[in-house]
Amino acid sequence: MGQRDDGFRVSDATIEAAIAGVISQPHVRRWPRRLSALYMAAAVALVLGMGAALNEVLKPETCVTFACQLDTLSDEELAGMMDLMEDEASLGLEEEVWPTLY
Amino acid sequence: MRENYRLVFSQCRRMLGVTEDAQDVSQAVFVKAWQAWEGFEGNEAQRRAWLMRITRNATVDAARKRNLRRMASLDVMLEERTAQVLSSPDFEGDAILARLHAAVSTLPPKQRWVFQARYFDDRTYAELSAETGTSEGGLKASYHHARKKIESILLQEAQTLFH
Repeated sequence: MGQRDDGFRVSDATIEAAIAGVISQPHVRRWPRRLSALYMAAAVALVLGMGAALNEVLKPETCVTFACQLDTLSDEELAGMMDLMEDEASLGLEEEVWPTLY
Repeated sequence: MRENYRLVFSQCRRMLGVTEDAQDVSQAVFVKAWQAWEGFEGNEAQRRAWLMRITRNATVDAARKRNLRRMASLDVMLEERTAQVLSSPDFEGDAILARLHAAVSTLPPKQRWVFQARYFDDRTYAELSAETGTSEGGLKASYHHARKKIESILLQEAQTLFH
């Protein structure tokens, strides 16, 4: 990597200071290995119960907006659409629409 | 660790343009990596790939938020960002390279990421596809559009200068 010079230089001092900052952070406490089976079962049941209840209450919304439809497009579909839009350059839409694609 | 940090920081620097933002995101990525490093099962190459993946996600998110915060005309953005790059103490390139970074910074974040990975790091589409889960065709389309946009910006600039 680093095939082309991007002009940016990172000094060793900057790296050292940043790493010192990282190392001073505490490690994440892991879950204790011996969780009681009862506690685990209760937690799983609670989560499943809440999930089922939410599933009943929340129905998926229909995708009707342009932004929502864009989100569901695959990269290939998006690229195809962008090419079509470019062909329609006379409409002058590119500048307005292109930056909103992502 | 130092080598990895340098790698992460370079990517953040190119994606975000502003030194302080790049430092913040690099730091956040490394704190996350540091906390999970011991529990990560895999070889060095897999660890590095994972690090690059979280860097990409973090920089794309940060770039999105930054775009939302700042809405200005293209000309104004280009002027501001060129000046920002040129005045950065860690930048040793020339005005043309600074203008290129400014033009790259106006791209949508995902296109920006693909462009910098291809143009500066010379990474292959296959590699980027494996890392992102996006098809090579999709990545090629992103790079193609990014390059066209940058070419158009730089051409306009040249025409203004020499008209």
